[in-house]
Amino acid sequence: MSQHDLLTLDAVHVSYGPVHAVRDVSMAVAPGEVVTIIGANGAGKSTLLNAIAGLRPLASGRILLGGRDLGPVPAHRRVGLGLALSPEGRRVFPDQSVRDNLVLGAYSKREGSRQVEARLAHLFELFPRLKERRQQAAGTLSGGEQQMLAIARALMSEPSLLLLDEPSLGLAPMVVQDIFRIIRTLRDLGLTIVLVEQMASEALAAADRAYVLETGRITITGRGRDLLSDPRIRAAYLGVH
Amino acid sequence: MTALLQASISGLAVGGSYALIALGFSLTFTTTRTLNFAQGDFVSVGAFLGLSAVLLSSSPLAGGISGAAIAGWVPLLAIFAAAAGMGLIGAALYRLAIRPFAGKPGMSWVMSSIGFGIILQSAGLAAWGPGTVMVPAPFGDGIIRMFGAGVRLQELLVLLTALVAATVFEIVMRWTVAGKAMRAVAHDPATARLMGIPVEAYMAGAFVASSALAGLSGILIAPITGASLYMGLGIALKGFSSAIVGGLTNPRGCVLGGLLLGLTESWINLWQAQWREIVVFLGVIIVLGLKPSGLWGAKVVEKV
Amino acid sequence: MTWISRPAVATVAFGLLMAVLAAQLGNDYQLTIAFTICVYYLCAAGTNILVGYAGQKSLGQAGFFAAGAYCAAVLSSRFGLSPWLALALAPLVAGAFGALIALPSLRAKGPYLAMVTLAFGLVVEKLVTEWSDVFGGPQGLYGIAPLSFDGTAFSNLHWVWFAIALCVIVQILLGNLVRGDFGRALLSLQADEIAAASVGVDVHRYKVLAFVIAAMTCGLAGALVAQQNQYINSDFISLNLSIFILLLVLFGGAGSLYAPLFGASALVLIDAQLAQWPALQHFAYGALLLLTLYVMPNGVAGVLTGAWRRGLSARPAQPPTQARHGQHIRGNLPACPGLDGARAPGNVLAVQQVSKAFGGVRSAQDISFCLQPGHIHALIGPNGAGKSTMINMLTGVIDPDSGDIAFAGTPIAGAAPHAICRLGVARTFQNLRLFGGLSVVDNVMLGRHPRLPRGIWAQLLALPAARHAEADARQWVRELLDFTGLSAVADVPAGQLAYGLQRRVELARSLATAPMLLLLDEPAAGLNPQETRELGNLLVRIAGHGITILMVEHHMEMVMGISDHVIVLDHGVKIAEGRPADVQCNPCVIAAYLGAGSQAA
Repeated sequence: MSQHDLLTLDAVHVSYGPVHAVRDVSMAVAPGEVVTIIGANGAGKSTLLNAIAGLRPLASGRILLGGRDLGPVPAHRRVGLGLALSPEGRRVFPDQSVRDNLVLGAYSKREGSRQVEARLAHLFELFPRLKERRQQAAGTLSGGEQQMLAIARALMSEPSLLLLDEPSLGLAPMVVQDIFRIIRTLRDLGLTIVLVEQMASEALAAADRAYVLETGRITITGRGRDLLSDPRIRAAYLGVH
Repeated sequence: MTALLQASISGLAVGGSYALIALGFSLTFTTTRTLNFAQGDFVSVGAFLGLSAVLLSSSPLAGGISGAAIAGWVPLLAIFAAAAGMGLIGAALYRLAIRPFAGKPGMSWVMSSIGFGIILQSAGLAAWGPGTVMVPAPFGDGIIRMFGAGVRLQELLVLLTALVAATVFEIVMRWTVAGKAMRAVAHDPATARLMGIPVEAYMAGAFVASSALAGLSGILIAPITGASLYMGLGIALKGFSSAIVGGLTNPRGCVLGGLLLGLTESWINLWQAQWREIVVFLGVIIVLGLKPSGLWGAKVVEKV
Repeated sequence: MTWISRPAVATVAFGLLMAVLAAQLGNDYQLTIAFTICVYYLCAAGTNILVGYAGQKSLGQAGFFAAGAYCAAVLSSRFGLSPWLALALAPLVAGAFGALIALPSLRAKGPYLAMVTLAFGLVVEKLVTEWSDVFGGPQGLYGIAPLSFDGTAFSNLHWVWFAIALCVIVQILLGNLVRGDFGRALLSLQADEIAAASVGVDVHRYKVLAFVIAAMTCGLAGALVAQQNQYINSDFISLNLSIFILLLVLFGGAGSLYAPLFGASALVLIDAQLAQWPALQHFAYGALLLLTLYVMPNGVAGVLTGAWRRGLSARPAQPPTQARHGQHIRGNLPACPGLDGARAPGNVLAVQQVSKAFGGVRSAQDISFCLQPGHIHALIGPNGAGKSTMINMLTGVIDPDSGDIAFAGTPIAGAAPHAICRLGVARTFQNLRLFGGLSVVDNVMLGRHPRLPRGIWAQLLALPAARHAEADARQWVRELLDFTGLSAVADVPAGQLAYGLQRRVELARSLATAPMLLLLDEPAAGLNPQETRELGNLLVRIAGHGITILMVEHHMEMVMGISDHVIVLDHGVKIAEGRPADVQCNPCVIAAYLGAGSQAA
């Protein structure tokens, strides 16, 4: 772990009542990096992201953002520190318009409508589909569009670190390709991203580095491209030996 | 025909006060899944707070509540005192009786809010006594003739205020960032937190607003019914019925439910006054038997 | 004393003691207080069943009180009926009201349910106030014949004795009821209706019964009050009475058999002390209510049991909540007296062209498959493939939009969950749905519910048949706990166990229903590798007893290791099925799992 890491996890434990969902996880993310955490369902990936975002308390361990201990910072203040999470299952506000969802994403900025409009315009360039549908209620969007909205909404707070939780969840293969194209674009723009995914091959292809989580522990780490051809990955998913 | 029209307008006026309370119920229920079961005491105490403000401001001159003193800015002061005072008490209610119990199984929040209400009522009784105080209407007891029916000014004022409040509520919820954030909190508190929205503060705010609406309702209806510390119970029960019949999760449904209930009540009154309450509450039971989440409420779906 | 239970003897002894003490009371004022305690005890006893056991909110208990009071009053003052007969009819009439009001309450939840009961109480209150031709309104009904014995009307002391006797009978009967299967079924309702239905508890029936019981004791109390006063008017019936009855239960400790006793005696005595300062009395109620909720959320009974437990164990005895792996699993699945044979040849389950859509999302599209007796089938697929939806359709939690489901030849699509369980289909849940406050034994005993006799009278009177059935079931469950390796934690509340053990308790609970088909929704989720291996072994042994298994599972090593047959869903479509090895090599399956870009390396 170097001094310059943007995000540092130090021996993090998270439990859900009696369930030890995350056990002794340490990792580091450098600025500009795309790091993916892959693993089967129930491995504890989402729990880990929720803990970073402050939605789940830590049983023990520390999480540092830019060297600052996030321990005492409640979830809604972490956004202001530059940390945004696009949650699993998208969680857009279905009865509010696409535009209003995005405006809510900028809630932590407490700034005038001019700046918000400027950022909206910027994001609409990145997500032209959302621009077309900006007045539509978010609940009427397709799954892929909702996922784009969830990512765009997280970007509205101008995060230095973007956490993406299962962006491919429940999407058709073609749409999954679109989502990963967006992730690669964001990477090229220099954003630091932690990506939790079940779709191992796409995630590994898009990532600089990867961690494999199994029943709450990190079992494999390595460069994304190296792990792509690693037989252990397939074993972890399909039980093939 | 004239009688029917007159009854309809009176019904809508009383329904307006139910609607105000129902709106408050909807607000706290969607954000915190809890309700203030002591809303009746909030209505009564709200009326007295408004009255006391008038009394205090006019006492050096007149030494009592007289029609002459209640003019100009004084009614506004009464309304403001009732709403703001109850809003403050609402914040205390949230902190002391709701937050410690919200989200826990069982009905502890029902009982804790009732307990808070009993204490509030006792304090009110100590301050103002148990009697009924006749309250002069701020704009006089004038009667307007509309299509042959006589309508009391105060009734129109109640109805108007309810409609204005419902409209303001609608505008705030649709067009302001705070309103959008409130809707986000109501829909999904965890995700709202991810946006940086201080969820707790909004939940407390919902109780402040709901209590202010109760106080508003109290001070507006007092000139029609007279003010007493027991006046609120009936109004709040009807307000609760309105919210439930309209569907707690739907603010517009709640307002509609209030007006509907007021109208029904008033029409039955024309026919047989003593059956009014019985028919109204039987109707509530029947509606819930057929539509367990109210007429316009969202069905609760549990994920398995 | 084989035919009378120990609690019953203790209750009778306590009642006798109270009767002797009552005889020592000096004046009528004190006797009135004693009588009032009994009356409120009766109100609280039934309400405790409804609120504390079944977990239903009721703000209308005054309505039932009124039903009983006015029934006794009208029958004896207008129709000259014998007061004894009137007293006997009063709880029945009130019970009928209970059943009536239970109907709209069945589907209403939370505040909507509170509204139904609240409105009921208000309707009754207004009815007795306004319909003065029949009920006398605020003037009330005079000349209600009091109870008499041998031609002499009851004295105040007689009334107290009689009320104590009624309390003793009610306490014994309700005790019988809640200590057995009936009580467990009510508690399961409170904890989780969906899980309750999954073990065969007929949710509607038990809710109605709880309302009827609550109505009957309140009605009895009302009749007693009317007869003792020889007068009743509408002032007796108010929302405050409903709230006070609830307060009795909460203060005493809802869900404890002793709550009504503690609540009624404490609050009536406090009330009597405060009566000299009326202004303070009101305030004291509010303060007491808040204080109770803050410092003793489980009421007086909760405080006492807490102290009792602390007294028992000077050293902190930690329950063995950690899994001790493997070592305890032994024996065989106990033979089942509940289901007769019927392990018919052919398919256990046939699913034909079942479809289901939620909004625009099609969670199941024309899915068909068959399950073979004694086989382990796995249902796999990426997140959102529609696996849980399928399990929920098979168990009646969700109705399919179209298609047929036949279990051992019987069509079950759209049937109620508890009925499907009774046919022999058991399930576990993705997010554990245990009854956390109940012990492991009681959780598993609930699984026996569909195989136990349902007669309420036998349980109420603790007849030998009911007690034998209960004892047999307990023995059977002990064997099942041996089989599943849970004996060491049998008496620990399920919610306190380690996660892996909780999963196993849920499995044991489903096995207790004596299923032919076992549906497991992610049984290995959250288990560590060791626990997962043990689970696999256990499942193989269960299948060895002829029970068919269908599991939704993501843990591929286990799926591929123990399944006979694998069905793969993706986006609500069946994309493959067959032997594990074939499915593993199927390119469609690999693409669905690892993503389209993956090579079959």
